[in-house]
Amino acid sequence: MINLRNYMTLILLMIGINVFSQNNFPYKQNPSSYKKYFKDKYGITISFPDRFKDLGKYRVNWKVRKDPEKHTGFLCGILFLSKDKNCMIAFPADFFGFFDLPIENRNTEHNEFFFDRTGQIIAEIGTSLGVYEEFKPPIINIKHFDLYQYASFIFGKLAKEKYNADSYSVSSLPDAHKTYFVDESLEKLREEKYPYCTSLFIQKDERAVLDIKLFFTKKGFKKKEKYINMLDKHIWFDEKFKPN
Amino acid sequence: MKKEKLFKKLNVTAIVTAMLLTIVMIFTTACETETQTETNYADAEYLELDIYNKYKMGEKEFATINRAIQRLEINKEGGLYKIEETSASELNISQKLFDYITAGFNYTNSILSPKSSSNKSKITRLKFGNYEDTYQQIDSTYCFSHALSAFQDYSFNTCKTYQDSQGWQDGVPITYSNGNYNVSNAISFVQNFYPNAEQVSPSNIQSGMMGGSILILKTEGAGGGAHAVNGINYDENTGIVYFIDYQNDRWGEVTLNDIITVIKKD
Repeated sequence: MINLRNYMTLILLMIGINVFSQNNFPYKQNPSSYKKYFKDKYGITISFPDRFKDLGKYRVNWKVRKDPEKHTGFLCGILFLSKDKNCMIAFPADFFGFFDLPIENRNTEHNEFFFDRTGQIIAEIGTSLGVYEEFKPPIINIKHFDLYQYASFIFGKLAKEKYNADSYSVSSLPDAHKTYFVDESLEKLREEKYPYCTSLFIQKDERAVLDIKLFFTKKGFKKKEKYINMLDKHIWFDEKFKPN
Repeated sequence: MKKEKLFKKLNVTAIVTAMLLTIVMIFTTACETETQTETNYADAEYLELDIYNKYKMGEKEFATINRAIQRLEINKEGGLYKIEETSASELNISQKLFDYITAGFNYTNSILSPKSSSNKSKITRLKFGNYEDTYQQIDSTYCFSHALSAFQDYSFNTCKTYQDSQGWQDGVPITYSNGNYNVSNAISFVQNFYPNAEQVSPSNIQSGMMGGSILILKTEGAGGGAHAVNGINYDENTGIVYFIDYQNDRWGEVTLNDIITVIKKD
């Protein structure tokens, strides 16, 4: 049985370059345009919490380690800072969509209790620990650490209540102080104040996975659940969405 | 610290294993021919290595390893390599060299068959209903077929079947010699599905989104290792290329120097 996981659609990748110019993303650099794009494309309603303000930073590369040999990274789409300044949130440049698949690939058993981004979570934790073997299947790398020491996977009711999703994952990087923003001013800010990083992956089966990074001060990290919970119902997978 | 040492050790082993694997791929035909025509190496030159440190090995050592491997009868069963010979004496090579080569293949098999890993129990605790299927896919080393199927027009199995039919085995269908990569097979592979596909030099990548492109990345430093992923975005200001790796279910970032070549589907 073919597994959808390996045929997931990277919508961004497939967007024709004829539609958007080479240098532009499919949305403008403002929260409204960002939200509209994901509403239209993935049926996800995003409302940024009131307690967060737009940092005015878009499309910023972030890496788990600054070391060029460590490739694991993430492209931030838009960043926010909590008003108490204890938490910085990076939303992704794009999600990973599961629709628009070739018919042949739709015959899957992508049904329940399957978390799609496990490979990325393992790569992030492994890279942070310095044990990740680049480009080797994650199964090799996980020998070196206990995934569940760092990551939690939640399926079912709670995911539905929070995001109308099927599952989500929360994982904190073990050596988050070594992460790296390519943007100079942002990196300076992170280096000085935000030595903690937690990944929040939210999955709607056969729809998309949303990857959010939260950066914390020491004080903020002690109350990380509070900040994560601030996103409850601010990210909502529309129930009756049909892709164009 | 122990973890780091273990990782370094594994990394070196992986490099040596990759070399052995490459040699096997290159000499498979020759190997079969020799084993068919010559089964007694009593009169052949006794083969031994003076050094076994990969970092100190030179052309002479690799040539000796090549010759030793050509004396082996190596079959692939269930996707794993099996060496038929059980002793060094029947090959007229040193026991240490025999052990060195077989250890490399055993390590390769452990990569190709991670299900046998003692760590499996840690994974199954995830209680994912279909994680066994995921294993099947993660086991795959057909990164190029993964990258090609990411264009959505052809399934992974279709791409993999074509790759097998061309005798390219798994991985990235390119060759490496004297510091140069020959990517003609990789281009031909993509052109079979997308006739207008073309190669783009990394230096000619335009800033912005990279829809419909396969990146062939260098791996393991020198030695010709490669890995195929899909390009997403290139930022000329930072020099960073953002990619998704479908084989390993992750995304990451590289610089142009890490890229051997780019193939655009059209």
